[in-house]
Amino acid sequence: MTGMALAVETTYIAPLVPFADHSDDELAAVIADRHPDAEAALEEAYRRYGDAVFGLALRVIHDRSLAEDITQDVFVSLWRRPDRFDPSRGKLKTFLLTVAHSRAVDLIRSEQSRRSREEREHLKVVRSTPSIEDEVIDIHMAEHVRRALDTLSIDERRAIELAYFGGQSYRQVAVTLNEPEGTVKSRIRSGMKQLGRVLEQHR
Amino acid sequence: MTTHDEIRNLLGVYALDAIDHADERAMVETHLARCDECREEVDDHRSVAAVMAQAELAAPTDLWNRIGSELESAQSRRRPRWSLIQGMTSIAAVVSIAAAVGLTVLWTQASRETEQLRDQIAELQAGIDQARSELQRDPIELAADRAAASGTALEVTVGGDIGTSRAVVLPDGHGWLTNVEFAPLDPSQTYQLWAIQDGTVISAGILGSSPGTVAFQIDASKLEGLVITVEDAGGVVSSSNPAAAAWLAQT
Repeated sequence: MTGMALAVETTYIAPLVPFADHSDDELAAVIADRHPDAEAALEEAYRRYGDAVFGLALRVIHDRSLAEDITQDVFVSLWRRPDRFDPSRGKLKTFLLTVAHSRAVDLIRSEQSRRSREEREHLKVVRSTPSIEDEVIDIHMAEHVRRALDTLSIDERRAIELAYFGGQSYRQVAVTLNEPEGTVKSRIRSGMKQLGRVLEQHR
Repeated sequence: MTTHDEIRNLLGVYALDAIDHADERAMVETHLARCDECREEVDDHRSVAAVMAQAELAAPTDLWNRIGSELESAQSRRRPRWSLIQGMTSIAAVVSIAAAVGLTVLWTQASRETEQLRDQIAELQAGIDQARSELQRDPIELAADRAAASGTALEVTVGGDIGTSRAVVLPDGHGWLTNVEFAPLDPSQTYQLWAIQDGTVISAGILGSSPGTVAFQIDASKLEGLVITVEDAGGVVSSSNPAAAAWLAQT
């Protein structure tokens, strides 16, 4: 009798936060398989990366309500087209941020009014506060990122920041920095490679 | 003809979404489809960028609820899709049994079933198409609808020879062009949006040859009109072309 009760009990034992112990790739697989708990898996993915996606979108677009729309869009599109995430090509976080960045930049390009560009240039970069739930590794990583950025030349760094956080095209970056387009292209590439090398060392 | 080196030089800016010309982007994408080395480089740049985006601002607390409710509607859309796939499997099963056994009676029955399944599939497909069109709405379009619903927005029709579109402008200058029904142009041309503010004409955006919903930013307090012109692709700083569509404030 006791044994039976135990069996029933074990059936109902569930982790406090479902999927908290799953890896990102496992989460993505649960979502892609349309597992009955797929929505809980998506919620866990959102719990892990919702802030990062929202933070990047807001940093690029400078508009909270549009940043919310982008965040919603990113997770709903992971839900609808989970096959677009290919774990062999990178991490889930990279994928979600890539989608968010491209949506944010599309929105910026579609409102290319000269006036709004001028306004944006005067806006300060929104500084973030790491959320309490950030994992320790992320705090270390943030420090590494700062150090890695410090190894770039000022020109490489400005070009990358204008393109990535400012949502500018390389042609616009060239105008902003008063440099030839070819120079901007190669600076961004060499800077990204340099960052990759430095970050790799800290891995 | 572009060389491998020229493409490689674009990989950094491509990974950061910093190529604004669609054909240049397409050129890189075509190359990436067949070059593992370059694809890996883009993937590397993107993961570096993701690490760089450490700035994590807390997302609004109710945002997950919004996403969750969107999933419910996506779910009701997805269910028919599963039955669609099951339907197709049944067709395949029925047809293969008929072929194997080769009985006319069975075949007739099978084709009747096939017919019924086909009707069911068509019905489901129509439902799916409708649901999809509702769900795949542009976030910009939704933003425009929300703005219009706020009641403080200016909501007007910009129309002319090329067709019509709806413009919504908030008092803070955020504007949207939605329900754009302009005749598509040759790809060498583009529609351009102009705002008349305080007597001056200011470019408010290059819309492309076959525009969809777009967001723009203007000084709403001085808005006297919105004008669309047809320009060469890339747009112009000031236009000498006639208005192809317009809305002018009553003076």
